[in-house]
Amino acid sequence: MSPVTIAVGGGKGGVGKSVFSVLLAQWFARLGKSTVLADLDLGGANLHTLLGIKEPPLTLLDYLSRRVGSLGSLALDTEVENLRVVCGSGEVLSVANPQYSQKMKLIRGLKEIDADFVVVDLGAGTSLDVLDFLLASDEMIIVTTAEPISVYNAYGLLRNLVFRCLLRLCRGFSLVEAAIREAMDPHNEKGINTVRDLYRRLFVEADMELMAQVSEEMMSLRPGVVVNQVHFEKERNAAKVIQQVAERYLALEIRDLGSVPYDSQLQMMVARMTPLTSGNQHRGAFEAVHSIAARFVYGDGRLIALGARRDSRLSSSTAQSRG
Amino acid sequence: MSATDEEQPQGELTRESSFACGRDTEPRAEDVEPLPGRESPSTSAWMAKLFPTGEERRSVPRYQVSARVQLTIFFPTTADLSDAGGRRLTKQAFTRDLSVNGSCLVLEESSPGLMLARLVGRNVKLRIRLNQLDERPLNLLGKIVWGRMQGDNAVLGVQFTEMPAADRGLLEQYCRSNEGEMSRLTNLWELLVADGEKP
Repeated sequence: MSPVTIAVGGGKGGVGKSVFSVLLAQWFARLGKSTVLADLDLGGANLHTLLGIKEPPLTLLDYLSRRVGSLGSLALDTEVENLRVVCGSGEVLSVANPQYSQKMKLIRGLKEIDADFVVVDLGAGTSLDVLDFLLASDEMIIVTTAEPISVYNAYGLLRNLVFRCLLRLCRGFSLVEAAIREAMDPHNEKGINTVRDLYRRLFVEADMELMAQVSEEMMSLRPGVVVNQVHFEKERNAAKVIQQVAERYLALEIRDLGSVPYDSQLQMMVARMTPLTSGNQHRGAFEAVHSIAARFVYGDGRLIALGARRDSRLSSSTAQSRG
Repeated sequence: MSATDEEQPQGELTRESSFACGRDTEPRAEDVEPLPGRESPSTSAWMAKLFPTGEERRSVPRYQVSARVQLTIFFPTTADLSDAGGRRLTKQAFTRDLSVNGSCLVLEESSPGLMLARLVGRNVKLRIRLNQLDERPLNLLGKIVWGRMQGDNAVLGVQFTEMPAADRGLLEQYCRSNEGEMSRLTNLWELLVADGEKP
């Protein structure tokens, strides 16, 4: 049984993706689930420092260079029972910019890890690597703060995610691909201003069998959004802003997974390289992430257990390309 | 796209489709209706979400614009409005969409007990702030033509009943200049996030 993979991304750097990933993973572990936290921030891996590991003995490089046979073998124990961590190696150029086959190897490796949950911490931005790791995961969480730039970037990530997903689904349908690529240009001459406009065009003119596959995949995407570092009540609404615009313009259903308050304890721990797992778990950000983790594990529609995307074409395509 | 990404395996979808580019005319509303038997259930569900009934058939464009609105609802008798203590009820709202013919409004405060059935058919006045400076808000008259709850928030459809030509021009200009994803993000952010408590 492969683990449930949860990819954590965000359009902007500094919004707290890595800290959120650590807190989420450690809560899964504390809730009794065997959990691996994987640092796939390929250009700037630093997750281990948040767990108090200064110099990891094994990193992704050991897996990509075949010194170890499986990604799971890289997983180091942490001081939290049930929680292991796969460390990245951002300082290595080849790891920061993997070839396509290496990327596929990483995706396959994640799905072969022996655990209940694998939480994947991704880098900022909307690189193809980030988009593909998100699309290959069972669940995706986009972390943002309430700042407008962060909201714009989170939305931009979702928009690119939709286009990347469409391009991968429609590979081989050259004219459809051309239409999608044209729509990606906001100043295109066909007047396709939104993804919804693009769908309207495709539904009229593209093969219906293809559109049935597109429908199925797009309806299953359902990314979750978490608003991090919230200072004031209204800032929680940043998720609703993204939700409403994405639904309207991208025809993408967004799940508002909740918010995490700004937590001075956490900031202090990050600044001093104190392992986040040693913080007071019953207050501030720790408590808020606990309620998000609990929703994944236990209830609220059993988001993960249902594994809405587990049969996804994009998610399972990695298995098809195995070997 | 990097060269390495061109190497991706082709997957299953490798045949050419019947997609026809270069169509002379824009797709019409009728074209997007699903043909019986051709689409899977999930396609139908998705299409229903993508193209709500009537969306394509409006005679004037409806813009996805969020503007802050003070909504005053007029009631014929005080008996209809025991909680307001008068013949009118004022609510803060924002537009989900807007056109020169009408608007879809979302009431800002949650109104779980609001009797929507009593609101439909009522005359209303909308005081719309078109921008933050808002030197001269627009005052528009209309009627509530439908209402539904979305969570705890009431969503109301309002049809404008009369509008001076100058106001119509202002509204149209505002709608056109604020349409688009980024404008919508900014609009909503200003409405829902920025007006929060300041540090």
